[in-house]
Amino acid sequence: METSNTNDLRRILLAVTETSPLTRLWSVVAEHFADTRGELITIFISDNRWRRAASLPFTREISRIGRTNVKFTPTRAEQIDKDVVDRTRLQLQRLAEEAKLQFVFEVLRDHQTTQLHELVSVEHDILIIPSHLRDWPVYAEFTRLNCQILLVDTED
Amino acid sequence: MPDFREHASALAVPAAQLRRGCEPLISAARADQEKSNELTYLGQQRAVESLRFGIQMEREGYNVFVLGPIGSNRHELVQGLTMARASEKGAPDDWCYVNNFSNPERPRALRLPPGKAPEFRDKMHSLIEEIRLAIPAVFEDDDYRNQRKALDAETQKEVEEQLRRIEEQAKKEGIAVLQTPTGYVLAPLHNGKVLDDKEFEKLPSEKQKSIHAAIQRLSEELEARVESLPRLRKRHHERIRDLEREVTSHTVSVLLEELKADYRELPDVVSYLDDVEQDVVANAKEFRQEDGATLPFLRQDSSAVLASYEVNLVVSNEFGKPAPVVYEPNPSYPNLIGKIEHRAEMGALLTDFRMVRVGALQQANGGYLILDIHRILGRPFVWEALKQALFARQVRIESPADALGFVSTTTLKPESIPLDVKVVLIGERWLYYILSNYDKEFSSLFKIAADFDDVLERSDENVQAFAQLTHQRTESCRLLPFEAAAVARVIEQRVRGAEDSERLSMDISSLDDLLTQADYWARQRSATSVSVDDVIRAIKRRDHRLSRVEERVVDAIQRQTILIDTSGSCVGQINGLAVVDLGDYRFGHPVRITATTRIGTGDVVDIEREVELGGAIHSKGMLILSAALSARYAPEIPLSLHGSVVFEQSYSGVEGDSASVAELCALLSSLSNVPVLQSIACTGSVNQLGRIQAVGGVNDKIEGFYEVCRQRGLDGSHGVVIPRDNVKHLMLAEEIVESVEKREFSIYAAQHIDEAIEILTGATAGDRGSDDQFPEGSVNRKVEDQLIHYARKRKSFLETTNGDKQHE
Repeated sequence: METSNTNDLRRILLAVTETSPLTRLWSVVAEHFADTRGELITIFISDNRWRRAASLPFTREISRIGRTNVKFTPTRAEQIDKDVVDRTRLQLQRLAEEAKLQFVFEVLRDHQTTQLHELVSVEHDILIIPSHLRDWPVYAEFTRLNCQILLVDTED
Repeated sequence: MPDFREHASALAVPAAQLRRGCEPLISAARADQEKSNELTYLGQQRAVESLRFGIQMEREGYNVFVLGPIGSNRHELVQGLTMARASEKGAPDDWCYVNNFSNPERPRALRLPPGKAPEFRDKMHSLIEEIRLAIPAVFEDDDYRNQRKALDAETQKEVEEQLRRIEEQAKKEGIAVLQTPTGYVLAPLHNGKVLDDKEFEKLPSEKQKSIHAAIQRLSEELEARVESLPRLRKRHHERIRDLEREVTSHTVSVLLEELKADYRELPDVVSYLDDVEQDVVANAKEFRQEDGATLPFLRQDSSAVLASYEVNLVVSNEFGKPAPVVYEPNPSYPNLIGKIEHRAEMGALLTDFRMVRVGALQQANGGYLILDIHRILGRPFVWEALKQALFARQVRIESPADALGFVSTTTLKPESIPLDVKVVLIGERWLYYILSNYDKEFSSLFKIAADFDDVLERSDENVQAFAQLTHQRTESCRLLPFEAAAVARVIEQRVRGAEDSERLSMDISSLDDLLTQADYWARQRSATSVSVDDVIRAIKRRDHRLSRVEERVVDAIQRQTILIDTSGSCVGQINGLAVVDLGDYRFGHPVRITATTRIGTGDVVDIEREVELGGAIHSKGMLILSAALSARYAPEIPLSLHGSVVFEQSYSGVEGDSASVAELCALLSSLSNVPVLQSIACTGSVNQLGRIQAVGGVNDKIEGFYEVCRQRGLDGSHGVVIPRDNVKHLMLAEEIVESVEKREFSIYAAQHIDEAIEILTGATAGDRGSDDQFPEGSVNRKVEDQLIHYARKRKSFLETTNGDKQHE
């Protein structure tokens, strides 16, 4: 009788940010997921720089389309963060539907490193990271994880 | 007193003159077409000659007005002649309406050689299909994609360069440039990390100030660079557009090259194709049908853009065919001039050049247009529009409201089409005369009148030709052959229709009706040919269908509701004769005329005129008979008579002077106290000298009185007095002719009032003798004596009255 061993399951984790090229990263995911049994976890790395900047009383947001600038408040920072998370989730969902894949979506704040360690616990798990994340503080945490790391060049 | 019959017999019209019959005629087809045409033109040589002249005269204003009665075969004849002339001319040019790309409200009219317009329309349709496929394909091509990608990358690089510079500068000063979805935020950095409020507070005051200053300066610089981005994007879009234009232009010009070569002889078409090329290039995006961000209901429908290159073919003529001959049975404004149709879209009415519709004028352009004038005049604005088009020699399609300036909304104003058409108007004579008199422009536009005759002289040759025409009509209507006697009876009916035994009616419509109905009765009895009895039956059945009113009038006379005596005699009372015209049918009937006289001032009162029931001509007749009375009797003394004349039991208008003989006879009877025979009716007009003149409807009048007498029983005393000049018009029913032959009924032809009075009274009228006196006992003597008596009485009365006044 064949038995299932959870250790056989491989986790593929995909770390993304607001500016990550999702389609490109997704193709890398699909490539590794094709001949393996496992689960897919996408980790959205939230940029807490907005919240930090918004806490300063003098920070202003300069409009991209004209000569206007408005006060950059914590509420505005929260709203941007939420919008970005929702938009990224939707885009990933669309890609997953096309590929007929299930995935788990997690949001990771910069400081929530414990949560990251809980997600990656097995050696043969793969963490796919876009190269632009190397500049982020969280990148140091990635390198300490006990898993394979695949850095995808997104600087182009 | 002399026997009445002695007076009358000399004036009685012999039975042979009452109906001039027609010998049986063999009708056979003429051999050739020329002869056949001659038959069609029978009796209308003048009109045909005018028509030929009019339609051959290629000069301005030489349009034709065909005037003549309904049923005179005008349409058939005009069609035949115009088609004959049209076959000598070639087919005129084709016309299309196309989009005017620089001013879509003014569609262009394109002229092409005959037969070429449908081909041009189809070629344009194919061209658009090719363009529709070719343009998306060229944008899918690697050449285009690579060029486009290069432009995009170049612009993107420039944009990024702008930001990169400021980011680098900010980094040097310890400031981070954070990108939000809608803009940029500048925040202080410490060890690569954005400072929050608590960390910032811990910084020395001087450091905080310098950060503030740096952020302020960098913000201004960033704003300046952000402002330069739209210019970059605009330039990028222009370069993309130039690229697309170049790609599209090359594709379209290759596709149009062949079409332009096909029409190089037609500069207007080539110019239009140039416009098409420019417009396709300008609207290339519509051919690509890319899914833009625009909401679906705001996106321009690409089919509308494609439709703007369609060709609206409005006039098409086949090369080698004759010029057009168009008959428009309903010449309403849109049917004649054309119209601009609209379609409803989301509650609004929209139109474009494809919805321009031309009318009969454009369809007949280069050929002939046949119209009924009464239909034109009966439809609003049409007559003015037709004249305007003929004067201007061009047709402009616009609604009547637009032409009158009543509409202020924007609508199409299609280019006018030059007009070269010969218009043939068909109408009744009175319309021609009214237009000639009251429309000053009419004569300059319709210089040729083709006057159709109502009647044809009844010569042997014409009768024979008419028999041939009868045969031609029976053949064209696919009727049974007519026997010789039947043809003769048909011709007799044409004579009766002309109201003249020496003429034939040219009412071809009623001829066709008679032939068709006779054929029906022949077929009812399963005959293989139409006999004379079938013709007679057709005539009688038709009369029966229409004679209800006549029967009611005769019935009222027989039941003495309408008082008409047909026996005995009476002073101052006479049977006149009237005709009732019901349009399709008319009949005659007797009417009692009475006259009374007394001393007066010389006036004869026409009671019909007094109550405004008498027409102008009737009143004129009354005045003439008054003059005849005063001129004839006692001319040297004042006429001291007051007479009154009335049509008894007449409750509607009385018109015409055909009762003036009867009215004068009634007056003379009253004056002379000589009774008038009631068994004899009278018709005719009289002049001031007592001469009796011809009147109309004499056959109907005689037949009307005959019918009343027949029903009461003919005894030989009955008859009618008619003007001698009317004898040639007699074409009475066979039954009356037989009665006259049997001496049951008589027709008397009188030339002078004395002859009439003798027949009507049985007394001698009397001529003046050498003593200038009428013979003793004669009617005229009695009349004169009575007038002298009235004059004396009046004189004596006036003297007595004047004496009394002086005495007072």
